[in-house]
Amino acid sequence: MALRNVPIRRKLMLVMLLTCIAVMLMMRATFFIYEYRTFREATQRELSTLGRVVAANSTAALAFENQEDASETLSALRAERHVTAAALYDRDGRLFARYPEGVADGGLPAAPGRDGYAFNGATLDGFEPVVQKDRRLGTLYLRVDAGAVMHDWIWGSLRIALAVMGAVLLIAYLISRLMERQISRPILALAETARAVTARRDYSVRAQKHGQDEVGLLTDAFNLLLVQIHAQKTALDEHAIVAITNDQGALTYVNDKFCAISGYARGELLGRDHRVVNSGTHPKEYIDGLWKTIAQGKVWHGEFCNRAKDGALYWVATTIVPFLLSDGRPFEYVAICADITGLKRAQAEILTLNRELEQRVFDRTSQLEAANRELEAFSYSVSHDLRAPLRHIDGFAQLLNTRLDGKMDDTSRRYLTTVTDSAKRLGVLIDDLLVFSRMGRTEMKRVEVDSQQLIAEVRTEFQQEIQNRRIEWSIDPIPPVLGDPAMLRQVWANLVGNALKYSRRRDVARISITHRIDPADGHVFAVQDNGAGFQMEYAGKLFGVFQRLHHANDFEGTGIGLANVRRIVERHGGRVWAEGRPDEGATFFFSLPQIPEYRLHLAAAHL
Amino acid sequence: MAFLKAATRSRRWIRWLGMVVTFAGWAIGTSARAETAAEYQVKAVFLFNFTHFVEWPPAAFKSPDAPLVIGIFGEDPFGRTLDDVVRGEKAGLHPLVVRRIHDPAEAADCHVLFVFRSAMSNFAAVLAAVRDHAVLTVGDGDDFARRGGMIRFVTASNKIRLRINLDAVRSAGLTVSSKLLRPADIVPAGGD
Repeated sequence: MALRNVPIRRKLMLVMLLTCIAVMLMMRATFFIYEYRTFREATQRELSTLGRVVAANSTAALAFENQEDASETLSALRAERHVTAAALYDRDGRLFARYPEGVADGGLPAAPGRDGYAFNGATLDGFEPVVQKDRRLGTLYLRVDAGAVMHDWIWGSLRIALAVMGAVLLIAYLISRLMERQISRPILALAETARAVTARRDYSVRAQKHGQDEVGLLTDAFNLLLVQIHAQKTALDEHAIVAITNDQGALTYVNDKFCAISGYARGELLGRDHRVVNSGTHPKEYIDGLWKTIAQGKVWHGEFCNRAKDGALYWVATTIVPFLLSDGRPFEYVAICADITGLKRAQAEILTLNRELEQRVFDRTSQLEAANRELEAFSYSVSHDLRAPLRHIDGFAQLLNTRLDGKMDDTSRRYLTTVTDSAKRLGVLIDDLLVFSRMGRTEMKRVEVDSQQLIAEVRTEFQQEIQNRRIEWSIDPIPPVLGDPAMLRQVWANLVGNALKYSRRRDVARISITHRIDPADGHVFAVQDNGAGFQMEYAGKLFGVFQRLHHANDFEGTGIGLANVRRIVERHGGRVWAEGRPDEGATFFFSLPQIPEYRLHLAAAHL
Repeated sequence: MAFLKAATRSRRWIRWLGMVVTFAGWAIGTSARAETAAEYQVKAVFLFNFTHFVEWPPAAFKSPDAPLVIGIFGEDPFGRTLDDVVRGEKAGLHPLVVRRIHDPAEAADCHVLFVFRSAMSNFAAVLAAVRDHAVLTVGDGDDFARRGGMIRFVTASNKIRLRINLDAVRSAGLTVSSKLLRPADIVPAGGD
């Protein structure tokens, strides 16, 4: 098991025990070095003492050359286990007695060396003078197996060390047991609280604080976290219907709102499949799509129609958030819903009303269209039928003129001329009415129209009329537009004609045609003149049929032209308006929807 | 002693000298042990050694630095050997002196008195003379101990052993070191 997965209490214990062991080993090592030196000195001292005793006991044997006695004295060394060899030399340095009995000459120094003891590898040996009353009688040689002594001593020392170490470790273990409880118990209590909170989703629980240490801080932080979560959960519960299901779809949590709207008690819901509220309203594909989305770990938004316990249907706007395990598998789905049953009902009502309204509009439109068609057919036939008697009036007036030529007085001639002129004016009026009527009925084309070209043609038409006038033209470059060329020609002819007509009293007439693009209206064309102008309060009347602001004697006209312009422009989806001041001129505007260039080409190609 | 001093100077010297001395000792020993001269050389050393293992009462000396007298009664078997052994030596503060006596009356002035076996005929007189005096009597006559002598040299299998009549030693007011008793045989009064 890796150290980081070891419980803290074990870690603490481990730390304490390891510290103890380390300290003790170091102390033991230091002490051992000291002891080792002391031990060597002590061993040497002991040997020296032994040597003095044996030497004292050997004096008489040497003095009186009694080898048996000397051997016997030496053989007493048997009691000293580690003494491996001993010898007595007489005062002339001759080997006098030896220990043990059988030791070979080679195993002993041939002659006594300097008095005193020294370590020699694993052996400690040396010479002790044998003296009686200041008189040297010989020399004692002693040899000790220091290695064996050391061995015994080290083992003894080690046994004690191990025993002490064991005792200390036991004490350290007991202390660490007490300590680890102090530290690990609050942490375990905290973990237990956290587990209880997650299991019951009860965020009102608070962890109990045991002290002001780091664990205490952790507890405070944990409780603060709970406070925040609890606040957010409370707010969420106030607003939304919340349900949590496990990866199998079984409900593991429902809030009060869920119970209230579904009509089930919490106990009836927990553990059951979320489909307990399924209304069967949604097609299988819809549900499949939902599952596919959340199983991939994606958030699903949508609306659901559920069935409450009492059978009533209710609608919820739902967000389902899947929570995934580290391997990407979902383990929990949190559904947060808002009750939109009222909204749905209102929506349905609106839809119904809308449908009814549409039907009504359709009916009215049909009626209006029918009436309009009748009206137009009527005005067309009227205009058409009016032409025949008019032709007779004109024709017979002319015949009368020819027949009475030279026989008529001036007054008769003036009357006849008036009849002829009136018949002609009536003819123009009828023609215009026919055109106006046709504009409403004829099929409209939609092609690319070169307005520049149209304007040029219109100007040519008026050439005859204006050949004796001074006119300053100012014409912007005008882009092509989509529309009916014949109709648009009418528009330009009317507007340019008006401008020429109402400015004819000016010494120098100034007519300008401009074009601009307006974000709302699209193409906006303007024809401005410096003619008679008009009162702005009458601007609304300008575009009505037979509405005229000037007397026919001042400026001749039928009162149909601008009505026609309006009709054409509106059929093209645009609008017309005018600005002017009396005697300062007028500006007539009309707009055409702007169609992006590529669609223009496309539309042109299709038509 | 001279070679010992030399030995302290050099370890090598010790070995070398030791070997020479050992060889010399062995050579002398084998050739001369049987001879009386060699035997009495050992006995001379023993006599000298007794001065280190025996305590005399202070009254036995006229002064703290009065000489300690080793007497030879009767025939002197040592020749110059004993004189050579004790020359320059001291027992405590007492210089050692060898004195040869023939009159038993002089025996009381000695501290160690050696009675050669040929002088045993006068031994009773000697004993009488040293009675009440702290004199260590040493001899090598066969019935020396039985006749009241204190320490007898016994020659057995080419070695010289000691026999001590402890009662006699004690009654003379002498103190024998217990160490001396280790290599010696202790015999009862009148024993041999």
